[in-house]
Amino acid sequence: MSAVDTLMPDMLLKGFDDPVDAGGRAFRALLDAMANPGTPFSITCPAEHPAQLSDAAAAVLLTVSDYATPVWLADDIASTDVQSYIRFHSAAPLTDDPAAAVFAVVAQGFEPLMATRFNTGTEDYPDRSTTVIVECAGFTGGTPVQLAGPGIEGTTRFAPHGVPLGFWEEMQMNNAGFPLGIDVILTAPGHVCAIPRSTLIEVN
Amino acid sequence: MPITTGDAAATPARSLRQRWISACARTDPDQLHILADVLGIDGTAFDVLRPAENGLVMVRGRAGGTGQLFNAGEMTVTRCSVRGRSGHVGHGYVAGRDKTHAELAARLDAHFQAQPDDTTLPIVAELEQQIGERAHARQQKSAPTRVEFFTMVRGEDE
Repeated sequence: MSAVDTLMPDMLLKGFDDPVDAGGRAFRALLDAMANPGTPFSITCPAEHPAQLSDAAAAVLLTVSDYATPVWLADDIASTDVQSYIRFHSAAPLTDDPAAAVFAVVAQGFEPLMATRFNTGTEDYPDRSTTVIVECAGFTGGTPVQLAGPGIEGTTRFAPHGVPLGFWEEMQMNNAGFPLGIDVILTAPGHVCAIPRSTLIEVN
Repeated sequence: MPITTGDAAATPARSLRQRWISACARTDPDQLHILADVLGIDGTAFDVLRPAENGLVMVRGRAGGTGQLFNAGEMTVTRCSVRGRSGHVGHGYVAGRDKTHAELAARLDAHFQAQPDDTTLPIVAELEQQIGERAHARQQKSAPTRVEFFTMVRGEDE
């Protein structure tokens, strides 16, 4: 329920209804997703979110980003709405440099991910890498791939659609660089699914 | 930075919005309730963007107003942000832990932004006057308890 009749552009939007409880639940969903690569999980979403950002991507950003985590936004997403939304609700600094970002958001579409432009961590601290939120249209109906590795019993099939062009090839390259690399959180309306760097990918 | 006195209206450079935010923060919550009722401000006309939350801020100062910056100590602050029907976003930052006070202050901020300044000015002036009077009364009450410290000159080697 909103007191405003119509949401206008440039209007500051609501975040989680109950930031502590909802943030905790969304974080739990992210933990589950990271522990079970290739399996979609529903995530608690904010009451309102900017049009350029899916509700799930907004939920991830509000849950994990804070003043100490620079966020990089793809050009298609970096609208004033999204910027003020992130600044107001999470206080995260926005950066123009993908390699400096702790979290990054890539818009749905066919732009290549260009995984190597992000921070892949260092040999000493591989955890200091960028976690990339990749928006996609849905978790079914795309080109199926077979996933294996930590968190997956045997193998699992996964077919998200609307992923960036050459996404799986880039993710294979990313996995080849283990322990360095980026971790990816795919977001579709209301849901998240993780592809960490440890996941082996077989494109059929 | 000069030391700010209790009289908010004394500094001319402040915008009207700064003045009402300050006045709402320093006015007694019960009085703000009455003011909100008089102005017809209804809680359902606002979306809460950031629910009232308590936190700490570091109060910093300079000795004598010109010395080195030092941390005087932390104080409790409650903040809240709301959005009115017109889309104006109101912020309330108040000292202490009174969440309803912060929310009221935020609603009033959003309300005043949507109103013409000529309507708001007399209300703000009235609030400032009351704040000034209360500060004055408090000073009057505490003035007799003031203790002057001085050092007695002692005779040398006696």
